[in-house]
Amino acid sequence: MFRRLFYLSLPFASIVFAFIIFGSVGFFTLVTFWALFLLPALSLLSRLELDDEERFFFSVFISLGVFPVLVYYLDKFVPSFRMSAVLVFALVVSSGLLWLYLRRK
Amino acid sequence: MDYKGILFPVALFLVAFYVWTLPIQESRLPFGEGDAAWHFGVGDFISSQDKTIDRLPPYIGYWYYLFNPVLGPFALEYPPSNHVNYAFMQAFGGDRFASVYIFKAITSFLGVFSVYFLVSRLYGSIAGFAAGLGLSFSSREITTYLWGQQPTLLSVVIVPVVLYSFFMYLSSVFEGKPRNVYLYVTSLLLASQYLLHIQGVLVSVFVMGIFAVAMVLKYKRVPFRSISLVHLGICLLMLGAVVLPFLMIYFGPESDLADRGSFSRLFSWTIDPKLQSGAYPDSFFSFSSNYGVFLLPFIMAGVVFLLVRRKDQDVLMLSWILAIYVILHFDVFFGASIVRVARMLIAEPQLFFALSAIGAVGLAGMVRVPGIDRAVLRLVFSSVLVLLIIFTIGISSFGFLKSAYASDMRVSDAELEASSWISSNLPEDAVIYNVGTITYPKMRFMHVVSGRFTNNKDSGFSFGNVSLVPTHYLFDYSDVSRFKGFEGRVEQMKAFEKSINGTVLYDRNGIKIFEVKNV
Repeated sequence: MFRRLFYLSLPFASIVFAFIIFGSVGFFTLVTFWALFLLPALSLLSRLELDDEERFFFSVFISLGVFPVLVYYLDKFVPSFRMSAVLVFALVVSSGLLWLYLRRK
Repeated sequence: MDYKGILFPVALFLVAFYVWTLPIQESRLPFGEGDAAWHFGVGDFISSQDKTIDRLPPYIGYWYYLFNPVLGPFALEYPPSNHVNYAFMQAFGGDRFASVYIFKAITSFLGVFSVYFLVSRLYGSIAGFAAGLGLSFSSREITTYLWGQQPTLLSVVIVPVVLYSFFMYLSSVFEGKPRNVYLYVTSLLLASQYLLHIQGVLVSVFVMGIFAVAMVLKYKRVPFRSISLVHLGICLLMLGAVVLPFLMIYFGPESDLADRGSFSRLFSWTIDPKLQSGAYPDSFFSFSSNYGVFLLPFIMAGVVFLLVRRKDQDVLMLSWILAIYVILHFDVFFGASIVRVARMLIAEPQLFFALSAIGAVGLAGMVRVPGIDRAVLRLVFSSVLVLLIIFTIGISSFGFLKSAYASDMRVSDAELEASSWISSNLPEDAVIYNVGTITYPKMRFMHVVSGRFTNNKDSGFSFGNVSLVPTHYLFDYSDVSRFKGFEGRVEQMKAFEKSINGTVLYDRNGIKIFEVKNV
């Protein structure tokens, strides 16, 4: 429970605060930020021997440089940049979940 | 982890987010110097085309046409990450300008979190909070963000996280129980830094190198047996796969080596502003302007504490100090230009605020007050530091950001409307001669929003063996008519307008666009 609170607290607080200040633009921008720069890497790091705080901060700082380059490379084969971004997001998150499932088995 | 591990990051984020987005809260029009427009333009193009790019479009490529003689004109000048990130924000964030600028603010103040993370993990959460809060008001980082040199800033803000990860790996190696997960994380973080800007990698690698040597000296051995060559080899391969495709982006441009700096520079920590001939304002170099004089005793206390205690994490911090010193004297050791060295000053605030926070808690450890617990003393000293930060640099940074790029100094609604009209109505190879827009950055934002190469008389239309011929003239009376003292310029513009003999295509809000027939 505390662990979930940790992972959710900063994104949730920031999204609400951004909505208060900037309205829907703030909301969607912060949702995009956390969705692209936290979730995918977190799903991969979740099974490594790191604690929650390490996983959270490492995920954000790794994603900011690495995630867009994955999209850049996939975009060479996919006709749309937006589609590439969604595909990379889906691929990375599902890889993380698959790894989680396999390790549990 | 306890409640502070949740409360402190949330508090830091809310403070930093509110303060650093003040310029966007005041007005959602884009701001910054020429660099800001350039970076925005590349991301904007990716988003508008819905495709990432390997070559710059001509209207951006002509901007720094001769920049990279190895890769040639229109080559990417940065690895794709920064600009793809801007494109993400436009595509999914909902606004062409505000989404990108909110993202730029967040990624510029992320140093708050990287410093908080490193210091809280190694010296406690209260020290981490104080260090992070100080960085929230770092005027040097704020200045760099406002100008638009955000890729460099983002790469540098990752440094403390890299150092933490490397520290965890190396200290586990010396303990004889290597934790290779941190080796992989360090590699991924270095890869991320490299893909954002090489400057951050430079700082990280210097600190890591000095720290590794310092640890060997401290333990008087090299722990070969604990280092897995397999894992190291995999990490190096991973880094190579990231580095090689974009190597010539960084090393293709001509180097700006200069004569070696004077030996006397070694006796000062920072750079004399007189040496860099106006590339930066003098306040950029001033300790009191950036940190406040009150911070110095805390920093010195931190250094003394580290030198006295010398635990592994203290050796890391001392290595960081030495690395920043070497980097700030690159001109003396390696002959780099002083302007390049000055850019590395953005790596300093993280170190100084970390040292000041360590000094505050360290002082509490060194002082004995009968009847008062050391934990209470740490809280008192840290609170004093936090209050000093808030009431000195906090207030000044708040005022600085609130008044940054007042609306007159940003591209105006009229100018954006004209630029959008150009984007929709003029051919892609149109070349616009701008007359009258009063600042270079405003002209550059009009340039990127219009998606057509634009220059004025000062910047010219000839680059190397290429000469562009203007096909359209844009007369911007909207700027000069708003301010007093420009009457003479208006008359000159009107006379010039008559001389070009063009056909007016657009005439709204004090902006006219003419098509000219070139023989």
